[in-house]
Amino acid sequence: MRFAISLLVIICIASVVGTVLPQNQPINNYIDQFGPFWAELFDTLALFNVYNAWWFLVIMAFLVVSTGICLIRNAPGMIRDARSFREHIREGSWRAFPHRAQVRFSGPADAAARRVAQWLGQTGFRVRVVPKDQTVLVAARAGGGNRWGYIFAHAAIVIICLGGLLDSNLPIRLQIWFGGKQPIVENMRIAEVPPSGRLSINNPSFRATALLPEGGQTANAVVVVNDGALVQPLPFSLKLKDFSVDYYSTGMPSDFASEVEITDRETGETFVRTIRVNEPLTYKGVTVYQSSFDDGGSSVTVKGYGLDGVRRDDFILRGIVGQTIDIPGVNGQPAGALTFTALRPINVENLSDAGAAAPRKLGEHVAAVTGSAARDRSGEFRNVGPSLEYRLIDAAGQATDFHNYMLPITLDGYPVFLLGVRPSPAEPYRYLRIPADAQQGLDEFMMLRAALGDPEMRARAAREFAQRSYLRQGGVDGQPFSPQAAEAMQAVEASAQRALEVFASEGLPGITRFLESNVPGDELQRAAEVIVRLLMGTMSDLRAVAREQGGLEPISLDDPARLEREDMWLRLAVAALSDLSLYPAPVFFMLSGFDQVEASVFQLTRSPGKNAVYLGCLLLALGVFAMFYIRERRVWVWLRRTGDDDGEALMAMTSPRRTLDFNREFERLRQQFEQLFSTRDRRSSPAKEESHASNLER
Amino acid sequence: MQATSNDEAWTDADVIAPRRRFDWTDAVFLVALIIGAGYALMRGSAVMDFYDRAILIGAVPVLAWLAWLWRPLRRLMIALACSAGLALTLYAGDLANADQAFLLRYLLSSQSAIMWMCALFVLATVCYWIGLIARSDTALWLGTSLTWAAVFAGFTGLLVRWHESHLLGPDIGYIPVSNLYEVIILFALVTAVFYLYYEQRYATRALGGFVLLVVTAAVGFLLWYTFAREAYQIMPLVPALKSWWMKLHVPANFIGYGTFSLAAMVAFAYLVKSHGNTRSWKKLIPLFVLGVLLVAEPMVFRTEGLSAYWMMYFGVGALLTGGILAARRPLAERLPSLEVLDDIMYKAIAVGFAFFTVATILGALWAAEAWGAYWQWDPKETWALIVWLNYAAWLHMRLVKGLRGAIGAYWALIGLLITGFAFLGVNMFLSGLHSYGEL
Repeated sequence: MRFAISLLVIICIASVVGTVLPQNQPINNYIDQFGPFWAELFDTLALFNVYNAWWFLVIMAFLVVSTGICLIRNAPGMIRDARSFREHIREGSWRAFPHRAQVRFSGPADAAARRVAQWLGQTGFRVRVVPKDQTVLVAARAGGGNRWGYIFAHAAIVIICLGGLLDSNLPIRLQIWFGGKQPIVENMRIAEVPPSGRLSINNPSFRATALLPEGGQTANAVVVVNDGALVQPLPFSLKLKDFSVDYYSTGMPSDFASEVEITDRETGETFVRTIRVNEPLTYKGVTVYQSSFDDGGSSVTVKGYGLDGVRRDDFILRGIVGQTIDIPGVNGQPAGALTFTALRPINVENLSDAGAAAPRKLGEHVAAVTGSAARDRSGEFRNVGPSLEYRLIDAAGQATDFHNYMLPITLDGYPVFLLGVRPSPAEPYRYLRIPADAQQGLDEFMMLRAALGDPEMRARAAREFAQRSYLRQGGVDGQPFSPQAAEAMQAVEASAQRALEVFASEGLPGITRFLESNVPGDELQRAAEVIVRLLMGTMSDLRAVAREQGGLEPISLDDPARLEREDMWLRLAVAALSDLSLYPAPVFFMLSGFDQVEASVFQLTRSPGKNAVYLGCLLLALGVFAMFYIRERRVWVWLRRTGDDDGEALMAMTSPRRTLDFNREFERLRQQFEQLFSTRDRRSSPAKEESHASNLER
Repeated sequence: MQATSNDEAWTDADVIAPRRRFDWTDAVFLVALIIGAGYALMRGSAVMDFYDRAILIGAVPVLAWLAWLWRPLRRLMIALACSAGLALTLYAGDLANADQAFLLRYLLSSQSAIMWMCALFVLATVCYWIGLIARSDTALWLGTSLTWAAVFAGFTGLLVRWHESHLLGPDIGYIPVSNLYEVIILFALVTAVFYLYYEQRYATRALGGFVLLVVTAAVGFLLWYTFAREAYQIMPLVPALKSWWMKLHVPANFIGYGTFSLAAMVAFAYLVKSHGNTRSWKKLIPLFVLGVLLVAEPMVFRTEGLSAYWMMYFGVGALLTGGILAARRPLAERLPSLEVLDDIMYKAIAVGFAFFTVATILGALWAAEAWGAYWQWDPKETWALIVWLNYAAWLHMRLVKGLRGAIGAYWALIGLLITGFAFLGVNMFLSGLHSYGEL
């Protein structure tokens, strides 16, 4: 018993470890997290796959066997005991019972015994009257179902574990060890898998998955075993006709449904059914569940925007999600590899202003959370359009993930394109915001970027800025410059050009570094303000230059609203350009078109142990309730003649559980017992008086 | 035979008297239930599948049996029918009426009712403690009445919330036990109802303050969740939860959680009483630490820093624990006997364990339907197993080895820590099929 308890505790601890340590991840994740030493130690202890570890299963097996043995040993005795009335308790041991009573009765013992038996029967006991030498014993019992409860509950545990074992991956493992099956570790097509990698079509127990793109068909599923997989042929062929996702008005998915066509392999019959998350399909002993969904090979078209050097022609690439294509480089050498990781046609985001609520009075706070709980939140959520995730692997082999939204999203009052970057999958995406121009596109921004990268255009912008600032300072257009003015202008021009240079190569952090190294501390704040104004002004001129070169009309100064928007654009563009200096790739790709193909992921199982487990569950529930709410009690009443006409009745009661309830029940029974013969009004008083009185009566 | 039909003034002697007969009032109630169920079937058959209807029909005998088992439940159900029915009528199919109709706005709409429930529970706790310390029967009676009022308000809130979810959209309606917000309310209500039952059965109001401590803690969490996270808003169900299984699995689970918490609080009272004459406060340290740990448990599950609210919550909780221990002598005198406390602990854990078993089984059956595997060692499933094993061990120790007394009480308190982690911690910390995400 104590050993079993220690084993149970080990199981508990192991289970807890299994919930805290992520299970079944690639070994590299663990090495990253714990370091090589600990990762290897944990791996040896099989902590990364605890529930299938050999020692875990051995302990479980031991516990099941021990429970089974305990059950087999004790159950017959229990049943026998539950059925027996324990008639062999001797009257002499009555005094030993803590719950006892005695009463006198008159008349023959048999009649009295019958009365007792009737009373106990009415109270709910099963009664047996046993005449003995001098006494009559009325033995009663109730609540024998309690023992059955114990038997049911513990048998249930054994049955559930055995059923669970049948449905675990043990049968698969047995086939690997003894059936000559070998899991496939390399990538290969299902048709190429050798017989040692295929399970039998009559495999009685398996849990497999199948990914089907829309329109796809398969007669095989894949069983994952450790690091490899085995092919499980199915007795039917499964075709996905359509996969659909329904959405709520909030944009969250409300239903996943796959319309499938099943073709029986033997008879060729077909039928169509819809499989939903809580509505699986069962056919020929195999149950098909809607497990998840994935991309089924959508084709995407992207436009690439180069970020290095001067403006390059944008180039268009096409591919399929999941595929890797080469990025054409400058000399025909690939500049890197592009993998389309995920396409999301719908992105529902909550764009309401979070936080920044004005402080409210307590009353308003309370009022805000009362009322109906049904707030229509559909206004807060919006579908911001498709997005594409892709991975770039540069020539050095460095991989970076990107997540770009196809359409501009209005944030903080201005539409911006979001370009997400994450250096590794463990980190979240961080987004760069590129403002959308007047045509809701990226063209003007790219023009500006190219201009920023072109030294000639920078110089020109700096010159124009210097001239404009001279004019702003009161200089008159057309007049020749005074030497001081010329000098001042040149200084301004030089500063502007320098600022643009630093900004172009290192962004705003570069400007900050420049200031910190060239300006004494107390003047830093003022110098920063001056530089920023200088930069913004120069950028404005650069923009004008870029627009002119790109064939766009200059921005008119008439419309103040338009001016404000253009101002905002410029500010956002400067911020974006600064961030771009840190962008880890020389190019970014924007989704320009796609054709989505969805795929449904099904779980297919054959679970022979399921019925055993369900039976076990029923027994367990019944057993537990029986153990608590059917209380076993026993009552014995010995009736003995002590004189001609009267006798003494001794009652004793017991229960395996002596609780408060039992005490109260005993009290109640005792009171009833004492009044059972009360018509004769006999109490346990001295015998002489009784007989005297009775004689008088006669 | 003695008269035992009146279950109001049950005394010690006749607790296990034969149940009162099924009389005409029970028959009328049964008929009313049948009519109500029939009406609901007619109105709602469009959105109910076969199993939903079976559950609705099955609810009739279950509710009738509950009403016969404990008459105050019948009164509660009738009152709830009135309040929820009134709310339905006032809504008249339009959610905007929540801001127009006076009764809806201030009393009957789901959030208003739930806020009333919170206030009433807090008041009830205060009354119980005043009654306990000052030995005032009036205050204790007030405590009971306010608890009943809170239970009434809370269930009204949940029922009206159910209706509001249907008003929100044709496919959005669902029974309000689907997310953390809703189940915290359910937890508080189940614990309170079981407490009221034991209060009447054992004819003692002394435990009200203790049990309502955990209910007030739940209310505290609920209020924070409402104001800081606006979690009260009805969110449509994710596809995995759209199933009739939820109507059975979740309530059964919360009967388990509620009674386990009740048992833990009674265990706390047991230990206070058993330490009533302990002079050395070194012996009280384990109890104090355990109490403080329990107070701190919900805070541990927050992922951001600690806000002022939580610091105050912890401070108040620690003070209360220390205060109760400091006042152990007078409290011990006012608490019922150790045997009674022990009995309540056992009863509560027994019923909780039975329903927890059923709930875990239902969870496994649901998982088999939804995901194809009835047991996947998902963190929530695993922790449910651990809670189950913990209380199975407790019950084994008691029934087979006869373990009573202080060790059982400490174990029941520690059990609450484990239950709390299985309830909240798994969803917050560990990802898996049951993840609620961050708080």
